Amino acid sequence: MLRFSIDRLLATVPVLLGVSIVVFLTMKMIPGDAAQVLAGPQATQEQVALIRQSLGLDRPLYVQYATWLSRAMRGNLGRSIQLEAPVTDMVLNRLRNTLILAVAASVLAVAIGVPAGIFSATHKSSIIDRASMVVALFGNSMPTFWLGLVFILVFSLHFRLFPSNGMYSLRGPGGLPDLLWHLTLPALTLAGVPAAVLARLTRSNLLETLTDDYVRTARAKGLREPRVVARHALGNALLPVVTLMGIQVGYLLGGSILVETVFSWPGLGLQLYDAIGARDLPLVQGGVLLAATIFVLINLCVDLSYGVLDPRIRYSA
Amino acid sequence: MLAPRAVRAAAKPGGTLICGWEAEPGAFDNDIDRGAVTRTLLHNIYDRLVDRDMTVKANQPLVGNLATSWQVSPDATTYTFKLRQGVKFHDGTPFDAEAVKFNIDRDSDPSHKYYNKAGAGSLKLGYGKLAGVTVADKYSIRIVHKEPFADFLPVLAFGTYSIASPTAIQKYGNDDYPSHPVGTGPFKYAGREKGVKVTFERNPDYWAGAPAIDGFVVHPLPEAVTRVTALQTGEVDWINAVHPDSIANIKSNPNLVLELAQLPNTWGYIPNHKYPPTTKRQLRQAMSWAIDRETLARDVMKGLASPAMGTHAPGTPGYDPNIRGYGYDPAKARQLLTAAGFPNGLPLEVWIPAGGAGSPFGLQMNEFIQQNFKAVGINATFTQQEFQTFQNNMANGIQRNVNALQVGFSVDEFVNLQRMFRTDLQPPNGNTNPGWYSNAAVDTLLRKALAATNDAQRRQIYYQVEQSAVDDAAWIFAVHQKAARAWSRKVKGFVNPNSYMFTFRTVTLGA
Repeated sequence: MLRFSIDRLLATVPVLLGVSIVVFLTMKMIPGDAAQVLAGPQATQEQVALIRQSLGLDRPLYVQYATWLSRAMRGNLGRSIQLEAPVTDMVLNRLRNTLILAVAASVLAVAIGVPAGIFSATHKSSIIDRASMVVALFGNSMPTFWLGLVFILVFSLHFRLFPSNGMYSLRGPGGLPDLLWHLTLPALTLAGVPAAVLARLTRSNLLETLTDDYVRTARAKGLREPRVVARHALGNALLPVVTLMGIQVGYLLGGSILVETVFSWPGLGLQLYDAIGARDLPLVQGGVLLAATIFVLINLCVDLSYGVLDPRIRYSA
Repeated sequence: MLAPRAVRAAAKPGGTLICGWEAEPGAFDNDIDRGAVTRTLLHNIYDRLVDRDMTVKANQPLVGNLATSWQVSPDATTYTFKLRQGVKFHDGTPFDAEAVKFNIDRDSDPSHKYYNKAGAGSLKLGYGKLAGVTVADKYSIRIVHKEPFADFLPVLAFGTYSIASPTAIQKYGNDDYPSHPVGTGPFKYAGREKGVKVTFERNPDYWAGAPAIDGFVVHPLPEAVTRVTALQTGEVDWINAVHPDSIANIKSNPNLVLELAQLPNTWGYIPNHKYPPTTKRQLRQAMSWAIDRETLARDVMKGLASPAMGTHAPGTPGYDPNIRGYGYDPAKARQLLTAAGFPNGLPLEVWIPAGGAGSPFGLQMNEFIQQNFKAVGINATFTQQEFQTFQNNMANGIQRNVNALQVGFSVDEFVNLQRMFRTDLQPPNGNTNPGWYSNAAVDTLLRKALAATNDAQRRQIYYQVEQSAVDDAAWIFAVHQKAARAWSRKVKGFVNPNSYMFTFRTVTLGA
């Protein structure tokens, strides 16, 4: 297991380097430059050149990359142009809020998706099975921003049950109940797609497992069906579900850009959206780099957990 | 200049106004333009020497702010300001002539200890040709320009000419000052939780009378539906940039108020005056007669615009009701096309910025005008360009392969006419005359305007410039955009000015 873990960890290094090169080059390929943005429309060419020089933008690309990477590895992602503040502090502060949303959405996705999948599989071809699979298909197909807006119109505007935006009430005292109240709609919206995917995967895996020989043996022993499912079938059926959930958490970080914007949830996604609108390249760069790094790290964790859960993987590595 | 006393007496003082903003505001440098969402907040934190009075709905007059009076030399080069006495910055630093000099030097003198390169670029229009700034005594300052500059006073009223506390700039340095802004304005900056809120507190010592409310909070709500919902559910009290689709909904709600503000904005096309075929005046005039502005403003833009006859919008300070512009006359457009040598019509290449130049209707407006052009025989191809690519093209001027650029310009002062039409401001000397417009008679008038210290005379000269530009079809003027702002009925005393800027100084909160 140790060897497997070290191999996986080492394999992450070139991936992260690749991510950093892609992020750096993508920002360089965008037309226009930071010096022009900083100097404003009326600046003379000399003033722009002076700012370009002071930002190091006049040096060769590989020098700029090396400087940027070495600073980034020491935790310095530059300064935001629009907000005049260190990017590292800004993205780390916002990451916490995104994680709150992503974790809440993951919990909801598992809490809704897995039981729905189990119920569908054990009641195959019943009306409830078909209805829940139609709902799952719907959840999987609807754009999250649309779902978010519908939730706002129904639950905020019409029924006045939940707030439409923010993390805490701007007038209230705050605290955990306030946070949970504000978290409900965005977390439900974000949970839509992964819940649907989990429900469908759980259903198909469980159906397959329920036809396996060892399950037939369990039934032949005279065990009752709920016990057959819970004790024997479920453990094996859920193994791929765990992996999938890990990958879904990565996608939740991406999906949160739209959900955070719709609900003004002050996370990394909303920050990226604002930064793109304001053409704040250092902030966009820092945000994308952080999100990509987390995605890579989550995949690493999934790989490692797979090794723990399934010995075959560990030994073949 | 004082807040309406009657209004203030009617509602109870205190309370915090919660505002839904369409984007997160940028840092609060006093001298850098970070767009209208940030710039309007500068008007609440800072004062300027002179100001447009934003407590007036239309044609806001130019009034003394930190300057109480001024004298202009007959050649319009030397300005001597008498400053307001007894004013203090929010950090307690006394406001005086040295503070003003510190601010001007910081944005114009490269040898100044706190020289701000970005600020100097941003304020080049006002401080670009200074010959000297002298403190005459504690409360008077003399500013000398190398050339006549009769537009100096209205330029000083721009938000970015705000006066900041020298002590605060010295304390925090240029890098950190924008996160700790200190002015003399009616509200003090009280902190920011990024992405959540920016908080402002009332300045109890404000020289023109302290605001009645305890303060206001700016809450970024970028999604239009969420912003309107937050107002309808009472989560916020005031919102900006109401989406056109929500206007009817808000108007039907008895608890809410919605008002339009005519923006000092001109939306249209800059033709290529350097390379044919748009060098032909009759072709440009044909394009101007081809546009159905009334239908565009009423149906496509749902009333959020007025037809443009010229450069300045009705109800804004530079508007001239006597300008003879273009109506909708397709027959006349076809005649002019034939006269220009295109009896069978012609193709044109028009570049439009992605994102619609700040309008929610950008694409629909262009599509509508494309149909208008087509109806008279002009087959225009509209090519979308990414914003920054578009900006680079503005800076380099329109090239041979493009016939026009679509722009939405803020035209809030006469000085904009200098930037739009002066031959010597063609690229690379600026990016505001990218169409290479050049007319010797207009250049002469523009020079004359810069030397005209008599305000009425200066105004008449600029009206002549505007009429010449319209006759020439220097630009193809389409519409002036409007903004929709809405608030709860409990918000009293808010004046919704015809401007991108506004102030919460006059607001009170009722039950």
